[in-house]
Amino acid sequence: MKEVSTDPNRAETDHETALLLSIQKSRNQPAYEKLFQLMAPKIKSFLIHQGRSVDEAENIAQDAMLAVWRKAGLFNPDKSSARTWVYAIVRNRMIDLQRRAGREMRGKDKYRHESGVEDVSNGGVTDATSRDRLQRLLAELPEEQATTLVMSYVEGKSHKEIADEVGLPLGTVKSRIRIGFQRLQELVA
Amino acid sequence: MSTTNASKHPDSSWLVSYSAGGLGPSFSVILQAHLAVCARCRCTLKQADVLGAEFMFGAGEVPVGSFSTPPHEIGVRADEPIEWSRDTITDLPQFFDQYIGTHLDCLNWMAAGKGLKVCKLSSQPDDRLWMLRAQPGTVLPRHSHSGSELTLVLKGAYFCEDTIYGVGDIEDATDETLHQPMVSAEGECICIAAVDGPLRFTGLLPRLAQRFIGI
Ligand SMILES: [Zn+2]
Repeated sequence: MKEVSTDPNRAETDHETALLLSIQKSRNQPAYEKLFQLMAPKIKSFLIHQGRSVDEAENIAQDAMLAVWRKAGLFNPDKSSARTWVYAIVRNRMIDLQRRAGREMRGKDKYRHESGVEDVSNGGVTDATSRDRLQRLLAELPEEQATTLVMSYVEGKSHKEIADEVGLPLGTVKSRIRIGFQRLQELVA
Repeated sequence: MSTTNASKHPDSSWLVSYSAGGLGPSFSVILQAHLAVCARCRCTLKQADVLGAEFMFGAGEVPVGSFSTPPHEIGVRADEPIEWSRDTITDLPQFFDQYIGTHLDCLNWMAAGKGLKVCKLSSQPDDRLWMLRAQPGTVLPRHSHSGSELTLVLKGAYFCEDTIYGVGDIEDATDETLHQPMVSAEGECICIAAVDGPLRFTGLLPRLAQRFIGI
């Protein structure tokens, strides 16, 4: 499990962070375009898996990348990687949308697994390393913990939705998430 | 009250769900208010975001429509959008104005038993937000939950079992919790509570009240 964090993935995240810093320093457009190509397709795929429509996922991804350009000055490499920072931007977009739409967003379920959109792997090295890394991380957990984390992060489900689906008390779902999270925190540190 | 440092925190599983965008607006707003005053939970949230990034970047890719060159903007001042990048402590009344957008006295309060008023801020089947305002010393009806309940104290304090919850603290209750909060005798207590299932009261009178106000 120790080798999980020492890997080619590091080069990849460092590259993204360097691009973001270049945007921050000099509003470097080619760097932005490169970062966009690296990140936007993943953001879009992530949002579709969470059950959002293809159009909505496209809009949020475009919006989030525009925010990356606008807010690049606030990025602090001592606090996080570019990935984590961009992830937080995407997440706050989702929360804002949810607030504006009230609970409408729960309707997002209807798109789940019906979008007909398939992920395309770019076949590149970068894609494979991040994916491998995630799979190796999840393999470190007992299956029930990995499953609840996937239901939380990938499917965007609440504790209650997970509890209803797997037929377990809320407290059990919460502790599976908590323990799995704690364990992965140690591994990604 | 402006330099609150909360001491009771939500379970980290809440910050995971918040990070994953899986919570309804009522639960999100309570966590945001707590994050504004709690450095410890901001730190946990950041860890949850690190993990979220692993999931997002470890997933597949779907082609995006098009890349457009970003506009040139002059004098753009970006607000800090990310909780864990903020160092400042927001005070809760300020937060209240920002997120609830109305003054306490302008809310539509309903009496809900001796010394207690409640106001429904939002009500969807799985995501309800309540504000509670209780006189000093009020003992709340004994109840349990059919789902989750997160309660954030905005003013004053209350006791539950042998724990005291003060301004900025969160009480995190699940369907296994049966409790009877008691407001501190020192002053009134104002809380917001998000629930995702109806509360279950054990006494007859509160059950009647529940039928009328629908807590
Ligand atoms: Zn906290």
